[in-house]
Amino acid sequence: MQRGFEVIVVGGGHAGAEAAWAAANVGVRVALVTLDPARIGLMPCNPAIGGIAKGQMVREIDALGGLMGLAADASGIMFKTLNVSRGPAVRGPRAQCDKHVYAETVRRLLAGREQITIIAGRVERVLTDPPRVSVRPGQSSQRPAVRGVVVTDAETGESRELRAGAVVITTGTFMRGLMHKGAVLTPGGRDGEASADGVAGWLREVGFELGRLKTGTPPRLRRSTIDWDALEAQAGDDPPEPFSDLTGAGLNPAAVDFPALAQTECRITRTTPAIHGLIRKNLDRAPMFNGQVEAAGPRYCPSIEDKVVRFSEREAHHVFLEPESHRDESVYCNGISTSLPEDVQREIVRGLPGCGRAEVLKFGYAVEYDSIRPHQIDASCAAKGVAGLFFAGQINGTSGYEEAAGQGLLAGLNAARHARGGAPRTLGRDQAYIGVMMDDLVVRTPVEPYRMFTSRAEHRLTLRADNAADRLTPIGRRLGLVDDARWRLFEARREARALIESMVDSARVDGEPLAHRLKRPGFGERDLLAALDLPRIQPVGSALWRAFSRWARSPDRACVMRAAARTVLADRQYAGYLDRQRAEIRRQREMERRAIPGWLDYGAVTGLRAEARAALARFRPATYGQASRLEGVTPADVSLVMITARRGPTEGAHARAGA
Amino acid sequence: MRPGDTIVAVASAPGRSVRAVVRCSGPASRSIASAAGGGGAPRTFGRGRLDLNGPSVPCLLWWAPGPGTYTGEDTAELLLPGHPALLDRAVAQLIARPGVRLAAPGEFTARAYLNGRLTVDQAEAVALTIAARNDAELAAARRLARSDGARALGGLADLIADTLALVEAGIDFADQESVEFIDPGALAARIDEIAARLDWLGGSAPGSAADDRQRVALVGRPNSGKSTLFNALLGRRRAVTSDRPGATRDALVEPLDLSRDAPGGLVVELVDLPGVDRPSDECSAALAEADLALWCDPDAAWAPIGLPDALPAIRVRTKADLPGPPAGGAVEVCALDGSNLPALRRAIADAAGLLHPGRALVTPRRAEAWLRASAAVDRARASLGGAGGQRPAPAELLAADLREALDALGDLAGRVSPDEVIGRIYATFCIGK
Repeated sequence: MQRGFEVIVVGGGHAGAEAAWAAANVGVRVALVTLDPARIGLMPCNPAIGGIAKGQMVREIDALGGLMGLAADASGIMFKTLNVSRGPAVRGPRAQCDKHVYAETVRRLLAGREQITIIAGRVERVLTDPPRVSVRPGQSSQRPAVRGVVVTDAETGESRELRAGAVVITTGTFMRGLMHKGAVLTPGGRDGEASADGVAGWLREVGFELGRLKTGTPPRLRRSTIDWDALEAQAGDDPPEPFSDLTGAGLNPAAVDFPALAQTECRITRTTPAIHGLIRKNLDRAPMFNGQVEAAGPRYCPSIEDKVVRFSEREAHHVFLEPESHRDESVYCNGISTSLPEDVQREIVRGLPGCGRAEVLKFGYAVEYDSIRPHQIDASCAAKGVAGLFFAGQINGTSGYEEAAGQGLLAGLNAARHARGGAPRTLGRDQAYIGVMMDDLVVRTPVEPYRMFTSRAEHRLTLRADNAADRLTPIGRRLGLVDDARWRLFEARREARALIESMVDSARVDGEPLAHRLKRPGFGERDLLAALDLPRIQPVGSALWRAFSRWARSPDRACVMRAAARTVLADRQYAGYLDRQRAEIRRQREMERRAIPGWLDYGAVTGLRAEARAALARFRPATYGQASRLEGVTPADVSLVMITARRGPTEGAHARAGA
Repeated sequence: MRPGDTIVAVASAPGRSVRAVVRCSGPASRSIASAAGGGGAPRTFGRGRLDLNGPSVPCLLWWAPGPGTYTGEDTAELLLPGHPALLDRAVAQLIARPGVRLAAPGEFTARAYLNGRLTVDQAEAVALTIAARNDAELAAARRLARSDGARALGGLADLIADTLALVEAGIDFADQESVEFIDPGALAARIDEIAARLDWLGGSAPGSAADDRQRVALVGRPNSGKSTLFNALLGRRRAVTSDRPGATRDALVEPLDLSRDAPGGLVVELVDLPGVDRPSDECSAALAEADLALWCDPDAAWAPIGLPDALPAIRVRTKADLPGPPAGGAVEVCALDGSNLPALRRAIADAAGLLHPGRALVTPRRAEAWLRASAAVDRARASLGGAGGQRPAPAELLAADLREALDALGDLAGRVSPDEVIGRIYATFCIGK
């Protein structure tokens, strides 16, 4: 006898998978509804996880008990930490993954959770109470609440109702998705898949304001038709480093060994003046240039036609050839995202050195899709207009698997909390990149899909990959996201940190205090581990010394020790800056945490400039911090809002009546 | 401050006059005007009588509804005979009404700011205009109101934002094509340029508050004419003078306005000390605080008198009307007939380093922002290594310093968001795989 669901997740991409996983971690019963369960966890663009800022987010997802790091560790075929020549805050772990193994791992992990039921079908609409709703401003006096969804079974075509108090919508690029390849237009969100009209139709019907965005992908080549060995190689790190703390400790359920798969290399080639000439000649056939694509594409990921036009003085652009799997021959052409017609794509590829006889397995395309305008969601991923409705992933105007997964985790968590009557939970800009992302999303209408960069985070020196567990695992534990195994591992890490801190403060190496030595430029993690090598240290506190030596010699703890040493070192090397940032965080805390009362009517705030009034009324920021980050809102405007709020609802309403 | 209140204050200069203005701002303004027999058509003068709890006085009055007023609130003004006692009574009568109270200093302007009628800069400028002691300060306040300062700061903020964009590009797009966003030499040159422009702005900030005025101390042996010169420079008799030594026992401090003699110069604190052959704690403390010494010696002998080494001094041959040896580079003055006093004043202004162009940082808020920005840029400069072949600090620390400098100036010149910094990268470089 099946009990009812508490949370329904619509969509099985990176946001949907993470949402279902997080909700299951909290312990609620989840239904994941998707058109084709065999396609859960696909990587339709570059099969890589992580990178600068994105890698930090994967570490955060992992620290909160998430799925993405586990799957990436089980499927990585080339691990490489980016920015190793820079400091620890901006190093980004990245892995090229076997796309088939990655998706299989996600499916296997989800299938292994008894709380999760996967349902093949199409969600037609969301059921609410009252049934007829409108989220248009001023149309509905009572905030409707989610009651479930209507699903059309993928096999039988029969419709049925699924009941649940919370629904997470993660339909990615499938809302009114339209793919462009030259003059060929195909409705759909991903190559070979129809677009998800059902729930998108409902969202439009009830009045969600939608924006239109664009993204694109490059062609894929057959590896055996490339002069692979003639091209410059790009190798991964040796030894590779996993994303998940569990993997390092041998606790990843998806990857007993690490690396789980044979490691491979990428190759580098480049475009040529002849290719650029060819592209210029065919610009009238490029949907991005002949007006066929209306939406704005990402500036950080321009198509090759964009690059050639905007940077006409460049004679070459790098192209990275990245194998997508050990199981097939597909190679991703990183650097020539395009929506030019197939014949032009074929010619471009043949012009790349080493690719003269390369066969195109799949052509590149651009896709336009609808997204929810962000003033309609809050930083917990919740829809403001409908209680129990959550959005996560590309539908919110972001780009990237990691950004999607981070939102999925938060949406899944908050959907589960909503279903159980709990208050929503957000993360601060000073706590996590996920918090920075959500805060950015809800204060700005995107002009392009949102991608994370480290420069978006004012507390970047704190939001590091190495200390993700310190920042988030205790929070995750309190919220029920972190299981016992991960928590024990974290406690070991905490112990290791404390021991290393004590040793650093008391030890001398060659007569010099270790605490001084590790502030020297160039002093690295390896130097610290070497310095903590016991015979060289003059023991000061014997109890500490004994504890440390016991700890350090236990082999299963070597990775915890190494990871903790990395964090101690980073904290010490950034010390002065971290102190200043902490002072700044304290200074802003009041503004950041103080909620703007829901009753506040911006029409009744006297003295607001029209631009500020419009922005505040549209976004209805949750806190004064968010209000101050809205475009067109000055500190003076925020002061006025504060004053009105302080007068209280009655007086505020009175003032309005008197105006 | 409770903006729901109506505030009242005498808005004209203190003292007796033919007419004085009592200004009200807030919701009760119109009823105040009507009670005195006005309050009809807005912005029209009417005649009325203000009841002073028994007797009444005739007045002219007008009122205007917000938000089109100075404060953005309903406003009324009563023109009364300019008699201090009468005005006190009128104000007392008005603030006896419910919801009406005496305005705090600067509250009309503060409300104008809060109601979006003035920018912070303009509000500060109003405050400065009121407080200005001389023409130069007044000109600086006017410049501030016209936001010359914001423009100068804006240009600097722009330069910092561009530089930050180059550094951020190297961090966030390191996995991109092998573009070198900026080479170390060019980066160092840009940061030097930023530091120089900040210095220029800072050098033009002689400290608005009296506490940061430079202190110029008159020093010399007893009976060397310091106090006479002190009085002559001030243009009034402030110090006790005598033809016998030792007349001055305590240090005297007075502001000295140099703006007439040195255009652009402002105010320094002039300090008269007891003669230094009677050293005292007070005397050495005063010398330690001084920025400049006027070393007075009628004999032009310049025998050491124990001035601190680091203290710059102008040698002044006092009593120049009396015969004596050649001055040897010293300024010769005679305080009694005022000969050469302007030259001495110019010398003081020059030496005090007051002759800087532009004055963008005339308020404490600005000076504080400048200090924060300067400290951050200094760290950025130091972190580039340079001399000594030190390894340069990682780019993220350089970025943190530049970000802090930008945010500090952003408080004055407008914030540059991380999004805008990223936008600058796209505008310049081919980013993206």
